[in-house]
Amino acid sequence: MDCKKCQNLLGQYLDEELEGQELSDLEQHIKVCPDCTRELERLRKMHSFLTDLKEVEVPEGEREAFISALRNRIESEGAKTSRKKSVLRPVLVSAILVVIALIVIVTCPQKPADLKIAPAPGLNAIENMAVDREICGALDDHFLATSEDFMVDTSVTGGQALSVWKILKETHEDLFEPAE
Amino acid sequence: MKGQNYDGRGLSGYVARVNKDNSIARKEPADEIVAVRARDNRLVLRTIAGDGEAFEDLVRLYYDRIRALVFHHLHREDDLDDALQEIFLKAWQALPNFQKRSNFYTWLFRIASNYCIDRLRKRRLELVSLDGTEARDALEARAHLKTDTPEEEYSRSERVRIVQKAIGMLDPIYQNIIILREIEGLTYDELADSLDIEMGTVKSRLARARTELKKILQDMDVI
Repeated sequence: MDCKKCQNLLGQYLDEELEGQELSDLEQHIKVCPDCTRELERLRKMHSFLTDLKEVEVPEGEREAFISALRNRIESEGAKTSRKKSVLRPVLVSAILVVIALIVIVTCPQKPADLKIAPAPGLNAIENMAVDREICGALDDHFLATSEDFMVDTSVTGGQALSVWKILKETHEDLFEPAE
Repeated sequence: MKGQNYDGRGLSGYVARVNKDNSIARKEPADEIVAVRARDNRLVLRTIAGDGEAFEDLVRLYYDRIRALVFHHLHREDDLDDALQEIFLKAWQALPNFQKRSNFYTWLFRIASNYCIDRLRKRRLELVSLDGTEARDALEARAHLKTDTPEEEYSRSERVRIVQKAIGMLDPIYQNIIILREIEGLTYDELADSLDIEMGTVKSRLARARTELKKILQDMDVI
């Protein structure tokens, strides 16, 4: 390893991001190169100086005062948004629901056969399809954070997908019913 | 994501918990990051559903870190409150677009970083338009900071001030990555996520930023 490459990698070395051949090449080079050893020491020193900057104290009461001010700001922004929405909402909602329905029809993946989604109370057919789509999308995701403290890999098929489905059923009970 | 090869490792290095018999293991989170992510995702979902208190909890959780991030970029106490209001308001407005595959806090750091970089660029443009004031200031700052004091004799507070000045002389992009890595302590994965860049770019940008900062500190005889 030459000095240029070594010095380029010194930061990653300090961050313990190097491994394998690259790590051993760099360590070998440092052993025999005083220039690169000096550079490494400078970087170490710089890192320790930067660490001193970590301590920034938040004055007592500032956080809660900030949250209170932000709450007012969000309320006034929310009021503005809802005024705009009230004019456009009926048209937009209809358009979005039609698009979602088309997407559901074309792309919704096959779900395990022995469970099905029950229509959610209070929703019409198109809205239910949107809910359906949400759950299908969840199955497509690599990770699914549900309402409890667990996270599952859903890039699986068959029996595993069924297991995910069962947990979804437990956590979203109101959306499911047992297979007939 | 569909159809992509998946090696069982998530962004933060945790493994999927699917048992051999295909059942999903309902275990406690394997590490703190997973627990934080699940907690934040719950608060995000509640916020989107219209629960204002859930968003306030998110602000409460990350206020100190975002405040520190902004402070290290802008260095002006009087700008701090406005900047934080803008950042958290942007986050609240953009929350429905948040992809729950990311960590909420890296997403929030991205919003804060973009805001700070933008502010720094605008500030510099204003200064440059005043007949090269910025360049003169930078030179004066370096000359002023270069003292005959041996590095061992700097008081800690003096050194903090000098290092802050030195960071402020960097390009905003480099300033940002130095603050995120060295002060906020983000991992390389978190940097890639926060900055929305590839891992290779994280490494090269960080190396370049460190080289630049080291050069400035050497010019100041600090290291």
